[in-house]
Amino acid sequence: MSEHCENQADDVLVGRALAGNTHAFAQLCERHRTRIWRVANSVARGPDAEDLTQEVVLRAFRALRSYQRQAPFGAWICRIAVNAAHDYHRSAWRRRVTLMDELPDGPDSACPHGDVERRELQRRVRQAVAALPEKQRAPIWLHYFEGFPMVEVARLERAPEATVRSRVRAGLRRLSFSLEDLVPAGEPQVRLEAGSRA
Amino acid sequence: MRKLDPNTNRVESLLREAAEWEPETACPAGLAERALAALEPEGATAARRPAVGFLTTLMGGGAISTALAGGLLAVGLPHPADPLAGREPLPKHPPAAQRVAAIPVSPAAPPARRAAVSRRVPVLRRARPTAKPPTPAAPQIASAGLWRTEEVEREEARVIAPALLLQPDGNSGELLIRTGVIDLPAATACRPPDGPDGETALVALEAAPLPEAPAAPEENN
Repeated sequence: MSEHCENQADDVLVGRALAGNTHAFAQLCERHRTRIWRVANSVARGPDAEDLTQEVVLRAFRALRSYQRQAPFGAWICRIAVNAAHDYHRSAWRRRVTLMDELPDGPDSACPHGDVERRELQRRVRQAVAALPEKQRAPIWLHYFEGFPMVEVARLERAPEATVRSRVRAGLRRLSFSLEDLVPAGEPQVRLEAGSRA
Repeated sequence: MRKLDPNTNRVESLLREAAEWEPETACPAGLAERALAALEPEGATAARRPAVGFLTTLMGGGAISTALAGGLLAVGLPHPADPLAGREPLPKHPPAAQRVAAIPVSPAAPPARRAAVSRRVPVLRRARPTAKPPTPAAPQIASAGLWRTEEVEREEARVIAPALLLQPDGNSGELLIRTGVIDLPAATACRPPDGPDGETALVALEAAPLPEAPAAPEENN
């Protein structure tokens, strides 16, 4: 119910933004800033993450006319953020060195070493998803990380749900190669197709 | 329904674990408004980082000063040390009427346009020299001279290759296939010496007397 109200509020703000109200669009972005920030922080740190967040806002503002309100605005802007994160991840301008004073601190600094490792592992998985091809990247991110149902992802992608599921499967297979050291090598499986004989 | 393999299941579990990840720091407020402020005209040069802003200002200032310097050069102000500085600038080229009037008119003189054309013609001739037809070589033997024959020889690369030879039988006339070797001249990169190979060429001698032993072909063989 609250999600529906949020979507309605988003729709109102989108309408105002399309009418030329920049402040309404800023309000929209503020409502979803946590989501954007999470995507940006998955691939960048510190000032780079702030730059990436602002880049996402600008991209969304420029592409607002293409938003057809079939999917929630949160999913739409999250998809833009994932694509921007992908571009940043591949960019040559990305910082290759993380300075010591930029390493995470605060509550996590008191955590045992294993927790830091776990966080870095999670971040690496997110970066691997950001590096996927375009058609597999957004569905996996939106479904697994942001919790959008596959139906809404399919609406956003303007593709049948079965197609999106197929892309997700292809992306998972690709991830099993890119995260090879985290995924134990299993024995080759015989895949049973529907209608096939054993 | 397809069945996912264990690797894919493991990837799915990794993804679910990674979904719990949260950034260490909270998103600073006002990022969106700052980004959108850069789109407005008065904030067009506002940069997201101080260093970038400094560079943008520096480059903008450089571009303005370059444009100003270019404009001053285009105006062509004289240097203060120039004796003509401060005076009315003289036109570099007089008007067309003055130019025509300055041409000395004489009955024999061609019109100005024709004179200009006639000036261009030698230049064109110099630029494009006409190709003369090759003149035939002057005969070297002016009179009935003395002649001797000379065998011209040239080394040549050859390829000897096995081949199947199809020859008619001398008695029955039937075609017989025999094995044999063929000798083919191979193409050489170097230019052959003058004269055809293996042929007898006539070499003209100047009107010099023949040597006492003129049997040159026999010597070569």
